[in-house]
Amino acid sequence: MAYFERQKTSKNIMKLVYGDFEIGNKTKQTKEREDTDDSDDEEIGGLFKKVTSSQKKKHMEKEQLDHDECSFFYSLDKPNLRDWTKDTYKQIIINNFVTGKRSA
Amino acid sequence: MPAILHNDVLLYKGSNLFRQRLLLSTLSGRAIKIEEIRSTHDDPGLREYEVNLIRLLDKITNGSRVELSETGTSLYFQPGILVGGQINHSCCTQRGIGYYLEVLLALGPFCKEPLNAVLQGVTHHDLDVSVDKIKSAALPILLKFILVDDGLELKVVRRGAPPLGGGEIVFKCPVRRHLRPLQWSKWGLVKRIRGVVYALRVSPTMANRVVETAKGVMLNFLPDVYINTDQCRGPNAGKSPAFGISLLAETNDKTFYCAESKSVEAGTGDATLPEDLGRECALKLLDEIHRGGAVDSAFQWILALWMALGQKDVSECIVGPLSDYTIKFLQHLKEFFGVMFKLEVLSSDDDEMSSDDEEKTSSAQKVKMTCIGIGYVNISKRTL
Repeated sequence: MAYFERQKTSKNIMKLVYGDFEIGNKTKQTKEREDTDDSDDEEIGGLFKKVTSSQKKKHMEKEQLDHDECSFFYSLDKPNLRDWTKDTYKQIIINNFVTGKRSA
Repeated sequence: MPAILHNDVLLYKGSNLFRQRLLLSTLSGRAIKIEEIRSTHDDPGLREYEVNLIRLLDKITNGSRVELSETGTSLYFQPGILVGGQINHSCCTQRGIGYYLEVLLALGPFCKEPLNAVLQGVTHHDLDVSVDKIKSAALPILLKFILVDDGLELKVVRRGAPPLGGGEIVFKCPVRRHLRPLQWSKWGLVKRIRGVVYALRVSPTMANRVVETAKGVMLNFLPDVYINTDQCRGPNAGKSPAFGISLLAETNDKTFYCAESKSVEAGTGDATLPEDLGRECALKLLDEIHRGGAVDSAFQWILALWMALGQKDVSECIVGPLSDYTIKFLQHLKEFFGVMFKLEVLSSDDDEMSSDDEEKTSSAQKVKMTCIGIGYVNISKRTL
């Protein structure tokens, strides 16, 4: 369901899909430079390092690297399905059926 | 993750999306190199099912070159020419036949000889679309692109469940010189529900119990529900016990949504109640109907592929929210073919259905995909 939320908030779906590509190589280099900069001054008490967003992203990429491939919409996590038989939900999809109500 | 281009070889990392990459490499004729395949795992390198996929690609192409490193963690693949024809392949039981069949389906129209493939293995698997789903929901999509049905066929000869499999299917696909551009922005309303429940090496009552609950849920929405049972006997039931269901919703504009569920693998300790299974599958189907769009969400990527490979004309299609797999596929399409889709989120429907605000927010988003085909031509197929 997190996916729906993400899509709802992001206005530009092109950017969501092709984001990394449109920016091209230029920004990638600057990002790397940022990385090295951050590592110096983000130390807390000289012992811990703050996790920067780019590091987080790298970590995410690493995690995705060896995922199993699956073409389903809910690929690997179990979907939490809504109980469509409940009246409130039923109203949402009833009009996708030929038996649904028409305004005309 | 975007690829690094090195000497005209696309360089990837990791085993994820292995199938997409090999598929697009074969179609585009571009060599790929994949590195760091499970290099940090206890069991490094390619899995058996992935090697099996390479074997299959080797069978339907001529002149493919595959170089595997000693540890199996890096792979170089230079695709050959698509030949197709008669092939017989025994699929790895770690994945379903669907894993392999989807590749064949995507490549089928571009082969030199019409594809006639016999595949053995697991016909129903948790991670892969089942053969029933491909038959009922994916073949109609291909028909839209080739228009004339001369020998597109998928026959389930035997069913087989994991872990041992034992199923068999026959897939035939005609060849085309090029695909037609497609405009598909209406999908109509669901008019009937069909389904199949199979029971392999379990009591036949299981199937009937599944039917009862699944039908019970669907009857809330539509009276036209008909669910078949397929009681397999003897060798037709494969080698492992299982039961499962696949439900199909057909709209009056020939769009098919399909949902499926199957029992957990025997021997894992858990047991599946047939009643739960039927209900779960029915809810999945309703979820799919709610997402809507012109194609089932599991086949968005194959739709995108065929749209991109069509004639040099505009193709347009409206689908439900994009799945993660499709997003990755679109990125790969850009890398291999340089095709970029125009994607627009359609603002809340002006249909009669969204009369009050509450409904508006809860109706699933639709995405309009538009692209110009690259004019991919099957060089092996001569014009008449």
